[in-house]
Amino acid sequence: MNAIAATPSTTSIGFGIAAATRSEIRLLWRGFVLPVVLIVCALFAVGNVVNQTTAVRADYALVQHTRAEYRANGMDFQADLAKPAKVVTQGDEQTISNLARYDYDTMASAIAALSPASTVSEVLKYFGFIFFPVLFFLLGLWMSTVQRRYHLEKVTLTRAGPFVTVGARQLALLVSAAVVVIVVTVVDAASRAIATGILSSQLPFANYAPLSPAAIHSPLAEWGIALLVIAFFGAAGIAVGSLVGVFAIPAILFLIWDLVVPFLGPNDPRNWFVFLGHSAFDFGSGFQLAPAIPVAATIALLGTVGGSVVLVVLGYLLSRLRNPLAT
Amino acid sequence: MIEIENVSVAVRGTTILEHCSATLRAGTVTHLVGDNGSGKTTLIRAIAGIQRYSGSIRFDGADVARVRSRLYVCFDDAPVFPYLSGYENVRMLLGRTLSRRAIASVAPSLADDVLLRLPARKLSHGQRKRVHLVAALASRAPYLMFDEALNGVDAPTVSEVATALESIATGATVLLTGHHADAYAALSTRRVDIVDGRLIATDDVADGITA
Repeated sequence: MNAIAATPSTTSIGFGIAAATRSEIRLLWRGFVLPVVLIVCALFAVGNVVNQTTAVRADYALVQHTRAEYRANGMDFQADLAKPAKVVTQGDEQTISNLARYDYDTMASAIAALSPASTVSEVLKYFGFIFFPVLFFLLGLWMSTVQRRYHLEKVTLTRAGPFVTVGARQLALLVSAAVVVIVVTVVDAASRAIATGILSSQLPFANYAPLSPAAIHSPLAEWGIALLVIAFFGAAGIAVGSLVGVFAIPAILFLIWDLVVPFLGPNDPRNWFVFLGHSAFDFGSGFQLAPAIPVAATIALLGTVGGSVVLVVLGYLLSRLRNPLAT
Repeated sequence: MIEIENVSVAVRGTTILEHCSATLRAGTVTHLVGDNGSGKTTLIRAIAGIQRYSGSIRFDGADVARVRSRLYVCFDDAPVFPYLSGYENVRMLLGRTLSRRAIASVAPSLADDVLLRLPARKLSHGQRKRVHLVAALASRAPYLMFDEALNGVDAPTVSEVATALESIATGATVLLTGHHADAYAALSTRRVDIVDGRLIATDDVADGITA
């Protein structure tokens, strides 16, 4: 019979927040959730760059077409480039006063968006508003339900308690978000470098420098909003998972709400984020964010920040309610 | 030492435990015997702090919140994460990064390297129970609870578990639950019966157990 070496320890034997966070990340990784998320996001990053490359080609062709039309009509294309374009919208109709400058600006903007220098801004706005709400809600929901599905939560709660358990999930979510953003940024930057290299050998990029000053954007605001999206929807997923304990039904309901149901009013959280998104990002080319219902900036900001905090606390309280003596 | 004082549990108006008191001393392996539904698992859950109760449960004078990382509960259903190997499940259950060598050497007769390398989804209930037993031993926890410790465990393993408990019982407070008194006799140093939610000391009344 083999000797068994196990002497009781008088000191704490682990399961602090760092250990619990490692366990959550291990589950995400070995449950194939994080690898699948990274692969899907990387594919979408490449797809986004391919779309932007197609947009540059189409915009270039349009400029050449407009230039040819100017020539055919005996108009001076270069002279119109020096004047600003005016766009008047009436109902569903748009009237453009200076087609040469408008098409040129559209192309210059598409070239600038495709540049590797725009990687971070383009990644944050493309992923921040399309994928991150869905992605991090589902990740939070998965983390807060998977242990219950496999009856592991009673072990975790016994050893770590709900404060550490829920806190570890929030931290694991942020670590996952950092990994997703890093991977997507690297893939996106590499794709842009390749696309720009190929395009610049085919199209005379240097002849299409922007004529209008670039839109002012704050990297801090862009990062802040992306982080808010991750924190808000991740905490919502954890809170909902702690409440209902199952994955499929809330996941389907969320997808319907997020992707199908129109904004329910100015104080729909999605509208808050879209409103803030329009304030922080330039949607001049490529991905276009839906228009926001007008709302006070302070309400949008307080709603998103306060909502994230409330959802984090709610996740903890709901976990405690289900496990009343765990502390 | 775990002091259980006047612990009662009622769920939706049904009394499951009624005024249970017991002192589980360090260095003893206590076998809690009772029929189905008598309250064995509920008492373990109350001790683990995941079941609401009235009364008091103290771990060497401390509340469960202060000792939870030094308490290991081996639940009857032996839950594991199916996509992790036995090694990784042990690490996850303990919240510690132990080397494979350290885990495999805890009790190779209970779970060897071959078993611990397998993905948990390929393990039978008895094998998952072995993984939990290894985790319990590797935890070196001073407070150990085993709910239905021998369920799904084959006969040769019982003697391995007995050896394991013997080695750790010198310093730990161990509580086992299970139906078959004979099978557990070799594992435990004392026996407590639980009947209709009340604890009855059968072999050591002076040790602090009151009905």
